[in-house]
Amino acid sequence: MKPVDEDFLRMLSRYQGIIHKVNLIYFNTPEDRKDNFQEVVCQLWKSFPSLKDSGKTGSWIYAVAINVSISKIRKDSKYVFTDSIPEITHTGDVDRIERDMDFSRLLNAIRSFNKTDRSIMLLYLEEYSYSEIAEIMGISVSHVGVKIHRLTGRLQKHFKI
Amino acid sequence: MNTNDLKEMWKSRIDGNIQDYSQEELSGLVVKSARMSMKAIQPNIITRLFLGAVTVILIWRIATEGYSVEMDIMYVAVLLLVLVCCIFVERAAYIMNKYNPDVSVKEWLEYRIRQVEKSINYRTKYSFLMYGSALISGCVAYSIVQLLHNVSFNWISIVIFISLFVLILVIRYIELRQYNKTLAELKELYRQLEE
Repeated sequence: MKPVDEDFLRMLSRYQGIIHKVNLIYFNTPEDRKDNFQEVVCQLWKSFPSLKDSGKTGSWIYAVAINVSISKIRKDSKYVFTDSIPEITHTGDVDRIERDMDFSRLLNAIRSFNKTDRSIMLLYLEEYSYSEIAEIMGISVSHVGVKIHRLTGRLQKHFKI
Repeated sequence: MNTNDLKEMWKSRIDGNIQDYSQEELSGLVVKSARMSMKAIQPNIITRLFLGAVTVILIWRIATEGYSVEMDIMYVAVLLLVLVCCIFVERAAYIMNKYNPDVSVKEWLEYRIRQVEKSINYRTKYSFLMYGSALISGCVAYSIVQLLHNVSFNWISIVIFISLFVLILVIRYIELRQYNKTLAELKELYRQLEE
């Protein structure tokens, strides 16, 4: 393998979780996630030589992954979530079961947002700062604040029901 | 449940819900990406294949079949026209492949909207001219070949050309409808990002 391939593979190995998380919020079947993963990797490969600031690799990957995912505009935009969440194994640990169910509800709630809001919520939950989210999304920091306030309000309401 | 609880819930469960690929699987994806990046987005793939096939057939006919000088001149003229079309199609593909999605989401949406709008405007303005010219050129070339071969006029040829024209109109309508649908969806995404 060429040196640039090895560098790219090393980077991909370290940050592949980002692509998986973006796939989880946008695609509801394993096949779609696999296809999108390949497409994201292809686009990352094409623009890897232009990655200058290695300190912003995570943000760069998020931007590419989100852009590729939202470009895949599909007819079936009404997702059926229940089929796509991994099955919960009931181990008898009541707390764990409750936490798994809460996570499923959180994921379903995020997927009910529009395509761009999903990314903003994902980045927020992944502890990205407002300025980092603004840079990735291309909107102002104050606009990010307004959106996050609105989206977290919706999530909290969802859990009160 | 406050926002810190939501973050905690996310952080504690997300890794259990995703499955990382192994080094071998990632390596396979990288190799495939290197191959795919040679082709990347292929706009007008059918047009390119068609132009390629026509070029090959014309070159073969010029090189092998013992036609008259007039026929050879006509084939060379058609070949030049096809080669000019190939250049324009490849240039369009090159421009489309240049832009990478390693920009902010808003910038990416703006770029995609601009590209789709450009394509729609171009097709609306020039498609009749392009397809009409292609059809007329085809009719003229076919008629000249018939004349040079002393073949008498027949109505079947006219029916075929009219059918081709209708087919082109139908394809154009479907293509424009798809472009407009894509544009509407992109603009809706942009609106959602802005609100």
